[in-house]
Amino acid sequence: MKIEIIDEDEFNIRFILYDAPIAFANSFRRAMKSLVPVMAVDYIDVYLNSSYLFDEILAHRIGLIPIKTDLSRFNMQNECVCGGEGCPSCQISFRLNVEGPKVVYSGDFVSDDEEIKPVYDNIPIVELFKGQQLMIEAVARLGIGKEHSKFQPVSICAYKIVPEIKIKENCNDCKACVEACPRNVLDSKDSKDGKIIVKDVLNCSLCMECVKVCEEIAIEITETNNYLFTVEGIGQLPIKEVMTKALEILKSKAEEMNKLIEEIV
Amino acid sequence: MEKESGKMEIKIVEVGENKLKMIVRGEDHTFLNLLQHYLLEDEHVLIAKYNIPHPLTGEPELVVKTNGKNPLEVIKEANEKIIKACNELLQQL
Repeated sequence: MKIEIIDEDEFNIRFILYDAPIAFANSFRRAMKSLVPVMAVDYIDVYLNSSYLFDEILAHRIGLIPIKTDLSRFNMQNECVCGGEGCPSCQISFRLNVEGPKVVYSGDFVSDDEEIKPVYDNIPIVELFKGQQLMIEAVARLGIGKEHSKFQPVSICAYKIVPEIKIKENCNDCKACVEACPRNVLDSKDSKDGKIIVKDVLNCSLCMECVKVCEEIAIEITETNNYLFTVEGIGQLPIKEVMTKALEILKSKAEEMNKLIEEIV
Repeated sequence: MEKESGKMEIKIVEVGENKLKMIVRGEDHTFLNLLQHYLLEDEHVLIAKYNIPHPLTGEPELVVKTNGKNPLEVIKEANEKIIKACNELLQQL
């Protein structure tokens, strides 16, 4: 198995996973989506709320704000030394104390820690009018996407098979396939003698339009064991860390199962 | 629904010379489908299948049947394969 990164920036990554079983590709995708822990607000104390919104609506909105996470400093609450009661190494609190008229943004939260703060400062929460006030203490903790989607470190996380497109000898260069392809995978302009070539195999969606339209039956598309992953992060964790963490979690599950089996036998 | 504890628990329901049925509490398709794939790669394995009776209770059953090899050994070897595959990719990241 091999990973080749095609393009990468702060929030997006595209990579190809070569020679992997499809079960592994799917487990990797599911692990990134649902098993990597990130921070989100899970509990709020409302001391004063004279805005037009109910406490519950505010709680929901505040819960969905992504928060920058440092996995080396925080434990999952159920694995923490405090036994799940809440302590500085498994939770962090934010304070909000504002008075209208103003629009309350995620950046108005004052964090106990300078590094652990909302990823974006410009997420609107509620509009306060004259005389309205909000006093809230929000407590964030680590959680996994399986529990609630606010704990998901990725928004888009998908893979598709990279096909192998073969153009055989009996091709008569009729270019019907070039016109039929909805994703511009095939082309004949770039080659010297007007031959059909595969220009952009990663864009192919295996729709088989080119195979259907080819009268000579000269195009053959086969599936391979290579997968193109498209992952878009939300910003709590760098994307590479999400990938590493997901693999580590899969690995630790296998190790844990072996340990449990040894205990029984 | 009970809160996700995140901890794996296994309970052996049925055990024989070459067959095994166990409940893997707290897991889902993410791990079990991967394990099933690597179990089936082993030529000693005749049946390897998991079933999730209810999506919320989190008590999937795993059934392994072999042609003579100890099924617990087979599961351990499959887990070693998963660890090896993850390590291979972790080195490249």
